[in-house]
Amino acid sequence: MRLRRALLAFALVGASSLPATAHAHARPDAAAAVRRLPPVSIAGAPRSLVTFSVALPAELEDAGVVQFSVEMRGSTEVLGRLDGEVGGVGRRQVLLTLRVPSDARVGLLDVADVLFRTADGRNVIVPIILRVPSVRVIRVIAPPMFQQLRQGDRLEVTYRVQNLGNAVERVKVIVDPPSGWVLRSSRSTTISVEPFTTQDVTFRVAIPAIADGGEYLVGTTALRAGEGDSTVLATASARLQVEPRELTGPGLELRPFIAAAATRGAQGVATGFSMSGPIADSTSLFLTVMPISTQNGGAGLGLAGIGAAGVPVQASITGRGWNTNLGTTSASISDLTGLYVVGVGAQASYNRDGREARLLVSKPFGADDRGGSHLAGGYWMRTAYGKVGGSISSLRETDMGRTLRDLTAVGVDWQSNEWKSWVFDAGVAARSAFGESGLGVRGQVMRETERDFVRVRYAHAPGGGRAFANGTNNIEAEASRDLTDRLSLNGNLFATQDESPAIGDNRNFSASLAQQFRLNDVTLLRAQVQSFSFSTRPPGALLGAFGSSQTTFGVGAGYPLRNWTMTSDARIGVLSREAELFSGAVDKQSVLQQELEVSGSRGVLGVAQLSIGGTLSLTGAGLGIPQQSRNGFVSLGGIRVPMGAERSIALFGRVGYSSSELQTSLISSLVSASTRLPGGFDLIATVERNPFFRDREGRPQVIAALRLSTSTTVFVPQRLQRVAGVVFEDMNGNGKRDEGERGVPGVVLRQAGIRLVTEADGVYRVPANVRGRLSVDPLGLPSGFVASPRATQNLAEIRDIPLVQTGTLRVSLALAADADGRVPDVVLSRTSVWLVDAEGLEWVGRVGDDNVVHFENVPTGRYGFRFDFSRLSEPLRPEEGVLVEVAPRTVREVTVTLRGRNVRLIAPPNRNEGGRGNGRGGAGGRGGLGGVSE
Amino acid sequence: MCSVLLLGACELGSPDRDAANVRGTWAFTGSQTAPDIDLDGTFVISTQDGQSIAGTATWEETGVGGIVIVGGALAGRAIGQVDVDFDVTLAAGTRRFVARLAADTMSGAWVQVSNSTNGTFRAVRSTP
Repeated sequence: MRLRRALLAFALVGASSLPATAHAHARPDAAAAVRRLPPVSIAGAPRSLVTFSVALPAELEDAGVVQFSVEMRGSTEVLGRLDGEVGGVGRRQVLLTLRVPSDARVGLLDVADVLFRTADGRNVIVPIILRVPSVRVIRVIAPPMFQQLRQGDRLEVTYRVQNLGNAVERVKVIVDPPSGWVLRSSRSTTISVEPFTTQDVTFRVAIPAIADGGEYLVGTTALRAGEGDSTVLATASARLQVEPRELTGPGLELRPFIAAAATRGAQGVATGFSMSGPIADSTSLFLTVMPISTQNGGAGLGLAGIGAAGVPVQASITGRGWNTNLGTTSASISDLTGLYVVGVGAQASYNRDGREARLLVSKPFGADDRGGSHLAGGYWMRTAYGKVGGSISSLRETDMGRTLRDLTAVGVDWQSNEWKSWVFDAGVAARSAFGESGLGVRGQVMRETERDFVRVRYAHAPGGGRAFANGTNNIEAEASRDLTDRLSLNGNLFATQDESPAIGDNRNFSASLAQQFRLNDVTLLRAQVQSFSFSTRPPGALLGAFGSSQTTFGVGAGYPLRNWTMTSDARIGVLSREAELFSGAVDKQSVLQQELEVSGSRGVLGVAQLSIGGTLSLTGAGLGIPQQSRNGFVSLGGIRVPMGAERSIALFGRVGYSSSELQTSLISSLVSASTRLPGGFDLIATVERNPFFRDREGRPQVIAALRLSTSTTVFVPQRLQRVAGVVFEDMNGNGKRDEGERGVPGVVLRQAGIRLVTEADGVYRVPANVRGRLSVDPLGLPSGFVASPRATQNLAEIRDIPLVQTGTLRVSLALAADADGRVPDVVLSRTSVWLVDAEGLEWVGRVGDDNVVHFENVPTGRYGFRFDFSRLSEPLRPEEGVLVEVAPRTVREVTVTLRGRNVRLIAPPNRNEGGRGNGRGGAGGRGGLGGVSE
Repeated sequence: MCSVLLLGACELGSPDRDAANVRGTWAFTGSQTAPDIDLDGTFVISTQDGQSIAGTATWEETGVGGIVIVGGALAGRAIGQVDVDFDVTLAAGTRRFVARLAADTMSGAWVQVSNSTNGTFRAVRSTP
């Protein structure tokens, strides 16, 4: 195009020089007699044609016939007759047309000079200036939809800011993530965008772990910077599809099972069931009844491994803000009045509207002949001064009539309201433990911001860990800071001293400092210094004190390696141990210890996940632990073997290896398979060989286990009754299910946290209280189908969802010559093309460099076209009335012819410059208007 | 290998030479404090080279959450005729057992630093 313009300019200059040869004063700027008048200012927006006239200067009114010529001063094209005569009895003005370039920037442009020459030698120049007004258009384009995101994911959302105007724009871009989402970058950024250019702006967001499944919008707003940031230029939203956290059950589900496990010399059978689901509008039940495994060793292990052994009876009922639990209880009242007391009984909690309460009644857990009771409760409420409340706990534990523990504690608590991200927490309690009374105190200071976290806590609880507490004295300090988006530091320190007649005297200390540097999205470097030590003096005189300490320095990295995601760690440290021997001597050993650990994982053929790992550990002699130990594993999971059209078997396998100079190689292996059987039964089977698990005779276990279960809805609350719908093939596209239109199985439907799959006849069922429109998951559609566009436009809740078949259309764009033989010189790939159906719905095409527009998998039907040539250097004219038919599962190719815009050029009656006339005619043929009016 | 990896794993202490023979299968019971858990399982000490002992350990933990079965490699020392000090490497960390021997019975205490738990145990040799 530039070449063409240059040639044109050359032709024009050459042409204009011809009269200059005939008239000695034709170079106006060089002629002393030239008079220059104020310019004629013309306003014209980019990509417009502006027709205007230049009047014969008044001072030449008396000159009779005046010669004129137009000389270009810039790249703006001037159309029309560029030389000739005016005045006398003819026209007294020159009519011209400007073609304002599409990329004309705001401001003034010198366009041309019109030189008027009289027969008596007077020369007058009228300059023509084009005033290009400011065109300020900012567009923000959101990225394509992010799909299959998970809670906890971090992602970068990049918006494209386009300046379609002709002035430099300073734009402030502000991102607006959904409520509760954490932004990992600045909320706004200001950029400067040159005219007709594009800039990308990236924000980083983190999806909260508690986010519900569904579609979220991350909106962005572009404001004009420097104007109070109040002028909104454009908005756009990125769509994020987050997978459901869990599938919502439609009613109370009963899941009975029967399981069996066998190993050498032992077998076990177990039955049980679980129930879970809603029992009222806002109340749900969870109940498990499982046998206690009486099979020691492998059989019990096998049953536990397939979920057929666990807590004997456990039930909980949860409502809005409250929970009750029957079965095994674990006290969690407060740090000073009730921790770590395990029993069997009932506990309840309430937390709503700023009020919080807990209640516990249980029998301490232990052997059958262990007795006693534990009663505890607390109440806290939110006030203007923070959360205040108190708690009480009383435990009496006996064993064969002998008192093991007799504890009582009464405490009060206060927690401040949040103040500049700080929260203060304190408590005091009167405690009676192991025959002694004392005062327990605790305090905590915590601050948490987007980048910083710090927490320091202290507790003093006479009686220690066996008396409702973490220890007698407990100090914890933790801090972390994201120094930059890539570099973070964290450290912690824990020190505990726990002393009581029941446990003797234990002391633990640990501290670590770690630094993490993220090179990019996939590569991470880290370094850590870590130290811990413990010493213990058990109660009684049987054992002396013993303890150990270790200080380690380690470096590690997470990085990609070909198709693998790898992590590597190397550690070196000193390990020390000491023990007071029976003889009274102290045995103390210190050795160096070094470890190298490498692991990696990758996908295999898109259907399985392969993981490998290994550790090499070198330890000095003296401790008795292996000086050289090697461990490794290989696992392959996620394999799904199809079994017919609707069933498959999921497989998982793992092999582990361990060896040292102290023992022969130990190889463990596990293979598991699970599948759904006809009749709604689920089967899981495992075979494991594990040399670390041995029977009473010390033999390695080979354990086979099998579990058969099913699931059925036993109760559906009235408000949760299911209703049915159907997904069907809408063969005639009318949006309604007509006779003969079949149901489509396997279609995934979603709404909020619910995911449904249509059954073999296309029918699905949904709880009646789930209101609103279900959406068809495009990833869960059978090949060759899309949701009916008619239905997707319908915002009403519909239960029968139509699908339509699709086809592919390829449209070749071809340029054709105008009547005068000229072919437009444009880059066709910049053309935007839409298909328009009978409903007026549009599908955008993907234009390739070969000027072929691809419409893939569009609904079948008849379509017209809509074109946008605004990004081309000149507008085009498509064929009119072109309609195409897209048929199911076919690829259709059509060609659409495009021509230059019609321009009517009227040639002057007395043209004497044939070459020039042809040249102008060519220019006019590109769509301009111009010429000397007759 | 000692020379391959950095400074090498070099002995800094001095082990005793005559140690009790603790090879065999040991049935053990024990307990954990805070929270209360009962332990019931087996030590299999299959290798003894002077002081150094090695084998496996498996036990059931009965407590909150029902029954959990854990196991791992065992390695450590028999120090003289009375003292035993060994580690069991579990998935969740290393658990150190220290005990005194009296004939075919060892009694002692254990500590697992990684989860701040401790307790006592008693093991009786069933097969040598």
